[in-house]
Amino acid sequence: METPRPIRPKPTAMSQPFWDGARVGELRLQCCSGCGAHRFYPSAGCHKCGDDGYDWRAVPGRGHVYTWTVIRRALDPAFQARVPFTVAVVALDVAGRPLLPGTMLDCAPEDLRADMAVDIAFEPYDDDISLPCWRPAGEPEEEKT
Amino acid sequence: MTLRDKTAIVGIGMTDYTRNSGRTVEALALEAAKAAVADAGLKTADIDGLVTYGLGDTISTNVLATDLGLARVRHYADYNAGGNMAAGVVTHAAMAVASGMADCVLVYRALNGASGMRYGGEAFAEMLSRTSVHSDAEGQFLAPLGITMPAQEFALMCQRHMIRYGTTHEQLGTVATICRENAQANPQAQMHGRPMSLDDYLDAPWIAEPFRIYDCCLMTDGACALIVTGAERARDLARAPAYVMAGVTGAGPANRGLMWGNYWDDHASSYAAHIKDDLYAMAGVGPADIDLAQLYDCFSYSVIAQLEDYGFCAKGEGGPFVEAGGIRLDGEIPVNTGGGLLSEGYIHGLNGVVELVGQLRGDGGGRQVAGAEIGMATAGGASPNGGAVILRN
Ligand SMILES: [Zn+2]
Repeated sequence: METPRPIRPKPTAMSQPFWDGARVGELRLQCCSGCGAHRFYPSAGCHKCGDDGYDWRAVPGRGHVYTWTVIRRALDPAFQARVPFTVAVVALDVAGRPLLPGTMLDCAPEDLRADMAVDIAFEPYDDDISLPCWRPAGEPEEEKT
Repeated sequence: MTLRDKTAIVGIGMTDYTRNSGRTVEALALEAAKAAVADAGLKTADIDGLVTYGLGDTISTNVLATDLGLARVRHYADYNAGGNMAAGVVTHAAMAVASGMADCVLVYRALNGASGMRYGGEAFAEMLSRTSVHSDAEGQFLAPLGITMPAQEFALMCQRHMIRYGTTHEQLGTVATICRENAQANPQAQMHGRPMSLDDYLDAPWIAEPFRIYDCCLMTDGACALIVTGAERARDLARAPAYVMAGVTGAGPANRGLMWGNYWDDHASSYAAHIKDDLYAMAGVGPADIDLAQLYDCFSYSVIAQLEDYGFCAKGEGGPFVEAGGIRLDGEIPVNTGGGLLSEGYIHGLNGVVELVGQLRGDGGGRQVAGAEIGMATAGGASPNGGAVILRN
């Protein structure tokens, strides 16, 4: 029997530029006209200064692990079929240090560390959607325990 | 102008808390409501206001008012909200009474949380983003990663607390086992007669690390209700009043997201840090004056975050505080005396307020906190929005 597909994101008018970037492997975030902070999720106003002006900018997909969970039981069959898996929330190395959740790839749960450097990857879901994922950063990093 | 001591909770009522009620949510709500009216020594016709909350799984105030045969409703509110509103509904009722909008406000929560709608899964995540409980962002950016259960979202917060403060699995387990111990003295509790050791806890399966199954609250069919009226009228009723000293519903900055919120500046802190000053100022007391606390425990970790952020211990010391017995019935601040959401049942936090009223009446039986005069009941898992009430006898 075919395993059901994971949930497909539903882009909105607000978030479409993010998904457009993801499709071509580029991380695009809103940058606040008032204070210069980048933010994620996409939102109408800046949570740091309240300004509603922004433009979308491509930013480097490098960050450090802020927190994570190892999912070992899921209610949705599509996710239960892939347990255990890890979702990591990463603080991006850009102004405002926005957080971006993504599936952690190529890293066993026991090897994951807080503040570990990671790089973004975009895994195609279908022709229009690619999902953000994280991989341990390419450059060697001093291990923190 | 302050809310302090203007109103009191004068009646409480509840159904059985079970895994399968075999009844409608409407019938559960009506039973709890009538029990609260009878407990107060009031007549049904005295009720002129109603407040409830839920995630599309309670019964609305217009249905219950009709079932009660009320001739008129002078004030009502139906919050589309999670447990963050469990104390806020009491505060709302107290505000309505204190401002003359209503004389006797019935506050209730009813749900078939085990046999009916369960929290988690794709449909649940979709419902939260469609009904403005969450924004569309949470569903869009979390659900495709497999984050569709509250346990997963709170696990992210708990892990952050572990990273910052070294909180341990044993400390989480101690919260769970103390709640379970309290439930052994509470015949109403779903986990009554089912004790649990720390080894039992540690041997149980993972759900979403760092949470095992017993870090997660129960699923429950049931209802509870309470009645708020003016302090003067309260003195003439059947039971000793539990006066509302303070009630605050509030939030910290960038509080978007009722569970995991991507914007917050510190995911190891909670709403309590942001509301506690207003709360204690309104009550005219501090944490040292609180005799017991019903801390909203959708997850074990929520207790640790709130202990710290309400000032019962220093920030980051919640784990060691719990481990040293600080929240036991004979500890510095007895917590979740009826077993909490972890072991009494998940009536979405309103059962914590009901338990507190029972304690302030001295009706706690084998779980009674000696000399309980002032207590707190809170609402909010560990996100930056929530509320609390402080009651006294
Ligand atoms: Zn800004």
